[in-house]
Amino acid sequence: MTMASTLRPTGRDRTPDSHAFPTRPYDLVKEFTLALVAMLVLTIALAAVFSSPDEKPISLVGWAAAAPNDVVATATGELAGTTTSAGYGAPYNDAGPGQTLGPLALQRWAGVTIPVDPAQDLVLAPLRRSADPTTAAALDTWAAAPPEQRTAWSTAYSDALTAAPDGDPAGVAPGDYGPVPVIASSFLALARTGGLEGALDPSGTFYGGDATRGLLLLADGAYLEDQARARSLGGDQWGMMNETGNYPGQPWMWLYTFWYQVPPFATSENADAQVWGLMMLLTLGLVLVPFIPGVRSIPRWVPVHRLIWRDWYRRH
Amino acid sequence: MNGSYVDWGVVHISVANLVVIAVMVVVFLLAVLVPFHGPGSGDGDAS
Repeated sequence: MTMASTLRPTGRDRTPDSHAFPTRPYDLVKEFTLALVAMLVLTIALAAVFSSPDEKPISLVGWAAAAPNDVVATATGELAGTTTSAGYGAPYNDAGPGQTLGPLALQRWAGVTIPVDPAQDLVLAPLRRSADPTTAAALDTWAAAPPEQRTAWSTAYSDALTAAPDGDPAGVAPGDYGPVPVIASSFLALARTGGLEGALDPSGTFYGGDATRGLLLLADGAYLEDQARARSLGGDQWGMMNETGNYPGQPWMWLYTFWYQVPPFATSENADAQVWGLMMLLTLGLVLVPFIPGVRSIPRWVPVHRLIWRDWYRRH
Repeated sequence: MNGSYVDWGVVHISVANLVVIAVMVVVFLLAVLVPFHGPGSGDGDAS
């Protein structure tokens, strides 16, 4: 005698024995094979007709060719310590608190696991390889100067670039910028040669595979964001949902990216952590739907299931 | 390059994503409304 047969539930809890249900033969392998073949044919046909997005990757040499003034401004910003990466916090440095959720310093908890000193690692170290005597002399002057002097030079040059027409270094007003203009222009020259990507790789080899520093540098400039925004990929453009061109993107991300578009998240410095926290809360709510009064009754008020099993309901 | 987008208040959605969402809604409605035929219809054959 089984446990099930010893229990005698009554009323709506009564569950018939599984052997009492009607049965019929069903070829699951046939259905699986037909579905697989149909999906394969459909995938190949759609790929042949529509292909996939084929945007050219943005490289540092491409950046130098398309927006040289932005390269100079970014290098100067790295020296002045005013770029995004300079104040990013974990995992690159301790310069900022990063994303927090109320009193919880979520980003700081991860620690500095990929230490990056933007001025040193993104600008000065790659230039040290240069054999150019003018660049070497400028780097020596920079290294010999006290930190306050370096900040004064780089900040003054950064402000002068901002004031110049189109940020063109040639249009910068005369001033006390120390070696910064030479360093920045040498940096642009290095980027134009195509050697910067390899020089930024911490492994030190031209064919290294760690693009972290190159991407940090690129993201510190305005060019990358401009390119992203031109393709509706910005965070405040529902970018998480979008794909370049006329290709469909990730519509299932609608709720996650929706919060970034509305207050208070749209203007919050901690939107990433806050939106994540809210989505975790909503996910918990979804998991607990059967236990939430009112929400768990929605299927009774919107009886879609009666439509799906309408044959059964018609007969019972 | 940028594709075609529809703007409606705070909503900024690509036409391609709208088409995908519309197709998903249509497929869902078809799956609910189109009757199954043959021996597998309803809640199974009594045998």
